[in-house]
Amino acid sequence: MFHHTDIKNIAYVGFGGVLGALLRYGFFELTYGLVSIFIINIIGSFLLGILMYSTEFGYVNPYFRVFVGIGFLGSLTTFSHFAFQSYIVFTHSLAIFTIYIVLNILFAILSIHFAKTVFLLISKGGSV
Amino acid sequence: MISPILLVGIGGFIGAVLRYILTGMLIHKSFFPIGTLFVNFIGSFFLALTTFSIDSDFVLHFINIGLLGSFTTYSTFSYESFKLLENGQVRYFWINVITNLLLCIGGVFLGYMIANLL
Repeated sequence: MFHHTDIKNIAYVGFGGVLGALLRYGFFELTYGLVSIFIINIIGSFLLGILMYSTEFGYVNPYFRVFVGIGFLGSLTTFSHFAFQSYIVFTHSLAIFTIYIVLNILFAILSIHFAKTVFLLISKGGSV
Repeated sequence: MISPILLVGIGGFIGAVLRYILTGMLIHKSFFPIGTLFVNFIGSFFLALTTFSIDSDFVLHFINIGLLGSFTTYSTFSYESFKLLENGQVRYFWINVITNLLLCIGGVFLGYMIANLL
């Protein structure tokens, strides 16, 4: 299932990664902090949810899935900057830290759940 | 001076490919998503280490934003966590969420401590 030594897959992941990193960089140049990291991670999660449920039902080209899912959305979203900013806020306010963590985990789950709901609605409509 | 866009782009390429290869090697070892946990921990640790020890625009764009930003991922973490819930593996869901939070935020603290020794 994971052809992670296939050079074609590696190229698709890499170029998807370039696009994801640049879009994240552009967004972080406008605004960098707890809120912008949250927004980019949750939007990226929702889009990955749409892609993966489409894949599960057999509608997606495997190279497209690797390019967008692992490359682009994998790189657009980031755990290291989330963890870093969470640590910084932890040293300032335990209350804000706790709220931030709870919201991030809650919306991580809700974003995929919402993606699944949207996907099922669209596919039932027969437009896929 | 090299353009920040070029540095972020090249870093993003390397980070995504490294993540793909490493998680691909680890994904069959366990039905618990250990690959994502591993790259997120390593990436969080190095982000803190470089941020707290090196003050350079080159490192900021190439390593911190490009490479480590892309090496770690939140979207796959969300998807894998949701799948554990969907499959009724509630205990593994909590283990996944808590180990990612503890190891990655702990990894930042570890990077900060080591940067202070340098």
